[in-house]
Amino acid sequence: MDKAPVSFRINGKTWSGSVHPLKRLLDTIREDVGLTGTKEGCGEGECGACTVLLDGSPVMSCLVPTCQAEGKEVTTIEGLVRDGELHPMQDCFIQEGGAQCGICTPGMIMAAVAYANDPDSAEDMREALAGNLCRCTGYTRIYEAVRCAMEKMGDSGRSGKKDEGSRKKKAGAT
Amino acid sequence: MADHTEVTVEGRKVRIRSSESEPLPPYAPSVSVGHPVPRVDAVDKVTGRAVFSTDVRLPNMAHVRFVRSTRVHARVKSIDTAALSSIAGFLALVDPLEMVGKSLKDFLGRELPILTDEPRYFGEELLAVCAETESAARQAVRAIRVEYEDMPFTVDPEECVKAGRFVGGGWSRGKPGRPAVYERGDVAKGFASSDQIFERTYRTAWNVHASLEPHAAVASFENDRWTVWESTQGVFSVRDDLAALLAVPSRRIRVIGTYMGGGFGGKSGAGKYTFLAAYLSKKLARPVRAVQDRSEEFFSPYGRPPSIQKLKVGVRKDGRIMAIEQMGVHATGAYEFGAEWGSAENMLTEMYACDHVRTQSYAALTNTPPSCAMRAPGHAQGAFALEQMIDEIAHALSIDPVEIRLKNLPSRDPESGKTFAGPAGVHGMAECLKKGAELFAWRKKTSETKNDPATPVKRGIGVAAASWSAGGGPPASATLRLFSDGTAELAVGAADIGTGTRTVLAQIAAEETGLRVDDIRVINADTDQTSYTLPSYGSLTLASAGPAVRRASHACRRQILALAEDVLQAPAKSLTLADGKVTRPGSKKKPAESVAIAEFVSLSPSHEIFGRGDREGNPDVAIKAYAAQFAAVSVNVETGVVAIDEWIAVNESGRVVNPRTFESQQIGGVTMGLGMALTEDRVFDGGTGRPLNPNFADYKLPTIQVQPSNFIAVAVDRPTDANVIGAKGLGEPPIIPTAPALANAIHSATGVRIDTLPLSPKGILDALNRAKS
Ligand code: FES
Ligand code: FES
Repeated sequence: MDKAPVSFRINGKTWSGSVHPLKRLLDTIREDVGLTGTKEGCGEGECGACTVLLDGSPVMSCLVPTCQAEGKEVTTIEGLVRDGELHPMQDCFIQEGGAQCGICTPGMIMAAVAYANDPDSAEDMREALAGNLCRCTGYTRIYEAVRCAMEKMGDSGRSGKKDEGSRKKKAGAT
Repeated sequence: MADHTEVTVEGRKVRIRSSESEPLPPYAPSVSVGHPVPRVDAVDKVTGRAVFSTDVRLPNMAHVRFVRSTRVHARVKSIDTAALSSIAGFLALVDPLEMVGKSLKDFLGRELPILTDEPRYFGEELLAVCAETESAARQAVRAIRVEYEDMPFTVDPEECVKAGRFVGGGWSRGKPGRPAVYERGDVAKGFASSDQIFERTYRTAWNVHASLEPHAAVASFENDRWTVWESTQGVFSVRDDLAALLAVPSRRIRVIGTYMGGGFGGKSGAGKYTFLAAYLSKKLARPVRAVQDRSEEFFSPYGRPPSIQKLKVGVRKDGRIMAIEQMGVHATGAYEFGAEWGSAENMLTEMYACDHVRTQSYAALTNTPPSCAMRAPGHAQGAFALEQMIDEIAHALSIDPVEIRLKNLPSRDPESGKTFAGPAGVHGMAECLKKGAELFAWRKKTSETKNDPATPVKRGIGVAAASWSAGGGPPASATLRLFSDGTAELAVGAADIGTGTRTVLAQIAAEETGLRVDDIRVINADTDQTSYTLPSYGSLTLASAGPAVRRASHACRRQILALAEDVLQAPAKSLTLADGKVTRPGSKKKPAESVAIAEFVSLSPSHEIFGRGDREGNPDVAIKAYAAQFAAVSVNVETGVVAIDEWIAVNESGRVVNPRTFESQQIGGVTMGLGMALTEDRVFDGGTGRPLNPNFADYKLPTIQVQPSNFIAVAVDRPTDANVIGAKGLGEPPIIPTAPALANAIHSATGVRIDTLPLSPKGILDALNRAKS
């Protein structure tokens, strides 16, 4: 099959181009749109490094054919900064030391933002982030960063408490 | 410091006198060092601005991929490449003939061919193809037909040893068919004077680094020079490896490794993909990119080899270790390449005081990928055996497991006989054990942890400890340039592999010069812009580069102070440098006065203040870092599932330059240790020799769900006098005690010893069933 026209919004701007409809959205974002903040850790849907938001929901962009983004809104790590201001999730990842080598960080932050925007989308934060692997941090600082951001984002009452409790409950399951 | 080093020059042994290094004032940092400064590169990392090697895209870039062996041991009979010509975008094919004589070399000079037509393991590189796009390169790989003639193979290290196919593991190159033997004292004598002898065989599993960024290189050849972007722990070793492979002077190669996504020992030099990218970039006169798939990360390169360790320890009734005898087998792959990385014996020979020790290391020539350094190579495996054995002995002799370790601490390095680096009078491991025991309430938990026979969930506690040589040392150097706008540029060769190297080095420079951390730009891991340093491995980066940075900064400080004495009309020793200013304190006659450092830079003769620092030699002592970990677990004896209720990690690695990055290293190391302990296991099928789980779905890394709920990581912040910043290494120590601490806790909960990694539910249930029958 040949390339075909495709058009979607990415980080608030319309992007139109011509790509193979089955090209991975990840590759379209990195190669055609030219935004390399979204990373590839496995290409198989197992690590979460490629997480972006598609109409607000987190997807692993290595598993999404580009044609599925047609007419939709894609948000990548580059789209979190608004008017030069970092997103609270980014601020908290800096403050709490949530990034070590940083390769998992964009995907981790996108998954965390999706959860913070809709805490009912998962049982708790651990479940929400269980598909995002990090080989460096051991997750503790990521956990704290996301909690910090959720408090800043103002949904602290509900989600903050939920995750405090779950931290004990779900601990250590293998 | 040792007053000379002995080296061989043109076959002649010569002694080189050690150079005098300028003594620096005692280090008493306050402003920057010792504070949890946020990472200097955090904004780049959270915004996606950080450019990793995999992100480098150059105009007209071509893509290289490998045809890999689908057989475990074979001779290539024929290769059919006819279909290549019909693939749009196909550019070049490289075969083994073109690569004759080209190989990677390990530390002992053993070779691994770049391409081969006699593959000795599944996934070995046979051919390379290059194409306009990544997908065309994949298409080309698929279009090539290879016919093989299979040859006998084995992936089982013990079988290999039985058949005599092994070499000595460890740090010298032994004869084929002979194990490497380490011996001190006389183990027969030691066992004869023991009251009790313990024996057990332990097995550790096959692990892989699993850096989230795969191995990757982009090479371009222009103006007779190569520029290579590589995800690497060591830009200079990549440069030198490439120079040897390309047979050109190393100055014709520039390697840039600014951002890289994790290494853990697996990215220490050039890979086959690096060489192919560099080679083809010249041949095709266009940039070439080589990035491995996740599945390729499981065969190339390699990971932590599995081990089988037969351990025999003799003790006196009072718990004193009298003799240690060990026989270790590990799989090293059929090329002998990297045979040094699997040996577990160092842990046994250096950890405890014991006069009679004998170890034998067998590196089995299995038909598997070669072995590779992976976080605490050897020690992580050795600790699983030794630290469980110590626990077993403690229980048998009714001695507290913490006490028995304290009782056997060496007062000198058991291997070299050298004294330990100061301060004298305290032992880092003792401090870790005591501090951890206190935080964990070890005694209280020991007496209170009881299990109701009626409930299936059993609670238990465990402890384990570690030591690791972590002194760092030369060669390392740094340069610091201060500009008249009040900012500075610190250039160091070291890679920041995620540990925070850039940040802590900026802190050291800020402390010494009085500049703010934010005003110091760190340029690192670029062979053109920074000076030579060893790769960031072996827990040596901070202790090597840190003192060099302090020296470079001190050279700048002296120049600032010389000018400040004149401007502020006060002796240097009364002046303080902080917050971008030099300040003279107030007195009765004159109020305090501050002048910006930028001002002094503009007054300097070159309008720029420059300092260079070289790492001083180490004193002639043993420099070790220490760790102890305490675990509380709940084990469901009906399902075999382990829950971690509490984890305490204590590390003594000298001065803590940044408490936040220090803690992150600890937690990250323990978590990788939990992966090793609980789930990580590369499986090679005995019948076909193939890897069965080269992906993250079946090779299970710890996720955020595994993180213990109650996880405390603390430091014993005790500066060493072995270097001018007082820091030692921290990269590897946190992973070493994790698996045995967990195994000991599982034993405490269930009464059974699990001697095989990973500690899977099945393994636990099997052990429980064996104990019952
Ligand atoms: S790259 Fe998409 S999940 Fe790993
Ligand atoms: S910070 Fe390195 S993988 Fe997460």
